[in-house]
Amino acid sequence: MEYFNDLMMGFSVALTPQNLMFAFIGCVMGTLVGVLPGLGPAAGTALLIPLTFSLPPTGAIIMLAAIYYGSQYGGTITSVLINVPGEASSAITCLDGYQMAQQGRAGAALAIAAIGSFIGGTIAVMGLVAAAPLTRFALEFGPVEFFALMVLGLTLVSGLAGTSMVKALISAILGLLLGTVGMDPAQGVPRFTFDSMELMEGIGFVPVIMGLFGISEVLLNAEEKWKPIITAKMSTLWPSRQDLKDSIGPIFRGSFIGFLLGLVPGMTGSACSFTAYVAEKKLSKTPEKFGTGMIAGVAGPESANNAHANAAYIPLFTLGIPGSATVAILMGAFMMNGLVPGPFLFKDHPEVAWGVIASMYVGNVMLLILNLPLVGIWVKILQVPYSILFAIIMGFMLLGAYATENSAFDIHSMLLFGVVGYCMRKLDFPLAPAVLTLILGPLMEKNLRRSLEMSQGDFGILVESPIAVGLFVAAAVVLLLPLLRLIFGRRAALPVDAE
Amino acid sequence: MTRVHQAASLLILAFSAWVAVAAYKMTYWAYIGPGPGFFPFWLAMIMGTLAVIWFVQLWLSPLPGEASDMVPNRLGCVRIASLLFSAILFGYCVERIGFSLSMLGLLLFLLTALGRQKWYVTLSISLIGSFGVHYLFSHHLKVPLPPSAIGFLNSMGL
Repeated sequence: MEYFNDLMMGFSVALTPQNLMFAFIGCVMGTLVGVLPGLGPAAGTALLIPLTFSLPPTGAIIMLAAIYYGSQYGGTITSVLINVPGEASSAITCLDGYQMAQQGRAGAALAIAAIGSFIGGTIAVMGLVAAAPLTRFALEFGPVEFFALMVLGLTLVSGLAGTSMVKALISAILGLLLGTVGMDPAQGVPRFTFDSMELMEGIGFVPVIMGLFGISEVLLNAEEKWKPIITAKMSTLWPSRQDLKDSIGPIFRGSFIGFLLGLVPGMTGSACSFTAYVAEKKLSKTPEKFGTGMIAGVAGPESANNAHANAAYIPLFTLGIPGSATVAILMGAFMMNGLVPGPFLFKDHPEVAWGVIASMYVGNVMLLILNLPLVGIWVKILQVPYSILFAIIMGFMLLGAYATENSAFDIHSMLLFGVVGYCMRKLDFPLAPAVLTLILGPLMEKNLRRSLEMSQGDFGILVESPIAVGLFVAAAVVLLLPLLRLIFGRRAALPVDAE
Repeated sequence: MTRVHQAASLLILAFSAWVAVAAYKMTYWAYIGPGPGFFPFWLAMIMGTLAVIWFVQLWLSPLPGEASDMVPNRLGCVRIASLLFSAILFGYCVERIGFSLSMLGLLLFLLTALGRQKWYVTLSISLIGSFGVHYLFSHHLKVPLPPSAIGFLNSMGL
């Protein structure tokens, strides 16, 4: 009952005209980010952070959260209409969605995807409310348990990102090292600052993220030939009764898969949608027809990726561990607004925590209502050639990097990390671990040092708590997974995503 | 391809060694517990170890393909260099001639030289992207953007 009252309080925050407007803007911007090929949710969210600088904290977070789950809706549109996924988690939708569009059923595919995304998102938000009591458990955690939890989060993200764990771990450590730049919080000693005043406060996460995700994406696209986009023709938007009947099962199964996998830090949206697609194909009486325009091949993955996008907030809200790069960016936005996501957020700022959760319900309804009538507009936007878009994206990123701290230094650091991100992508390094650890790094170091200060340097304190031991053992298992795969054959391999 | 990846692993190894030395020179252990050098030192050690593992992995199972596969074609190189050069120049100019003029110059250059757009498309996007965005951010979003530091441009409201 207590949590129901809290949720009602959240609705009273989310339903104010101002916050409704922020959720609406976030949903529209998110759909736009999803629609535009070559601009993923992480880069898109980072790109739009400057728009939130002057907003109150709750409004800013509502808007940025809406950008993330809105992008999941938008990614489908390009997958269905032009066979190019707007973002990675919609890639699998191309298989059947585009085939449906070729048969003149693009409207039905988009409508089912929107309904599936709505149901998936709503189920995951309900799960988020149900998970809120977990925060009481997390409130008992001391620095040792938090350090162990972060080690587990880091290994999960590294274990599930990309195709090589070694590269993922290098990426994670790069992020941790970047987090150490600046004044040491405990002893006030400058670290890796090269006598630069700008580096004394550390490397800003907005320029780093914009560089790693945004600039590197523009540079990679600069290598390609910029072709005009041809969209499939649209007929009626309404799915037939048979389409609806065939989609109910896949939607609920996809939502369940996406929700469960969304709870695991590091599990990507594309891994969820791929798993949902495989599950539907296995359960189908006509698996050979998948890839030829089966509605289940759209309904399952689309429900799964939206359930994942919403469920990924559960580790963040309950434990303070971001599960994906975009959620890590959102965590950074929380911190920029003086809020620390995790169990204390529910205790210290319940209006923010519950307001954002309630806004997700509202946002999912908005997206369902908005997306179907607006498909025509998104199709028009899709026709804007990349030879114009790249300049607008570049201009906006330069503006965003400058506006964060009103410093040209941030523009140059964004460009530097853009080149680093470009090289990392060329060498097949996953970027998500670097972003996650950049944000978690200072907290991880603080908890480790605090633990060792409490024990006066005795490392035994790290294995005194049974919770910490359990978390360390789980982290060790994740680290040893590649070895187990080698021993037991490749069948044990987990689904991976190259972002 | 393998050579490029191995070179990258050696670069990471060298970077780790530099970080480890720099971190060790900071206080590694203070009287109350770990010092500022403790955490980065161990991070560098782990990173160095991972770089060696990566090098050995590449040595044991080389990657297919040529090093040239990773290098963009001539047009790609020109575009990347132009993007980076114009962005660096923007960063240099923004606090000197102001946001509006710097952004106007950047967009005009990108849309003309790289985007090859018609003049009226280029001009309208550049004007909206510079003066329009400046107005929106300064007046409506309350995010201050830098005016020109040059007297007569500043007096013109730029």
